[in-house]
Amino acid sequence: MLICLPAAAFVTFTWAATVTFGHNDANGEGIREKTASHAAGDLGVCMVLGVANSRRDERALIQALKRGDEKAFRQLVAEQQRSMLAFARTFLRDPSAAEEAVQDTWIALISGIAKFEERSSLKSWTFAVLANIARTKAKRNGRSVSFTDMGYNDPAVDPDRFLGDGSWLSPPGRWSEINPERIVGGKQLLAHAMSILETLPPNQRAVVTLRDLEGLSPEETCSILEVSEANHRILLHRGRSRIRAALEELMGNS
Amino acid sequence: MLSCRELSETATDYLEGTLTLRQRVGVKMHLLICKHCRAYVDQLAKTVALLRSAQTGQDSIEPDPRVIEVFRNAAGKP
Repeated sequence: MLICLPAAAFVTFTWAATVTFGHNDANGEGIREKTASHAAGDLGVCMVLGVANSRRDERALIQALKRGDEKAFRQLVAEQQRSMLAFARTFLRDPSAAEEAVQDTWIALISGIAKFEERSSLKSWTFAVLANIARTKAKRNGRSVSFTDMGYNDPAVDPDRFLGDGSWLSPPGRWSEINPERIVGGKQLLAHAMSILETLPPNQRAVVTLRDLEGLSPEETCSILEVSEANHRILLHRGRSRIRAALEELMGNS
Repeated sequence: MLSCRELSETATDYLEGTLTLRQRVGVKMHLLICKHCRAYVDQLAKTVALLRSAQTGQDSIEPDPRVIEVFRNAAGKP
């Protein structure tokens, strides 16, 4: 492909097909930037390393649970119960029903652990069981949170921020590196993101929780939530976008 | 040519690596010349990184006593 660029522009391609480039913009300032694909590559590397370490830990944990190690079980509960509860709440409005679903899941885990073959990760198995229990409970209570309809249609960015031709009218600013503990406008960034997550439509909340908080794969997430890969990506985009917008608002678009 | 608005809708697909080669090239070309969209995609990537930094519960949550009972009864059975 022939690419025509201003004389001052240059592009280098790394083997990993990320693009780094620099150019002098109209004001003659030198700008060296990485595209977000590079940022995504960094995210990918961190995820792979994280999974490798946690898999080793997980194998040890599974063995301990099979042995009946109560301390290991208590540790697992301490680590996992809060997010399981939040996840159950995406299916069940009633907090005590969600609590029941979580307890039933622990009991199912206890009886199932002896035969657990480690074909899936313990975490994805736990959340799959929880999803099934919560879904069944929701149907029985007749108060199921509508999982399929909502949350697909809101645009990622407020349409008012674009001109008619689709270009930015009020563009986003540059963020410096985000420190999760940084406090802006009286709010800690991570805590604010989590509180916005709570307000998302349930299906968006569930996808973002499984993918970004729990680190499950697209395949695991789609299987647990019984949504297609394409739909899960739409929900993921919507959910992440809402949180981005809230953070941007907090940081005053600066 | 991809508009900024269109790009804002495909940004997650781009970060997830699920675009076709042609689509990915289109996005990269747009990002090359549009600093606003670079900022947008960067914000989205940083949002994801922020969420991933959340440490799942180092809570002092005690298991339900009923559940512990079940665990103890199950322990040691083949």
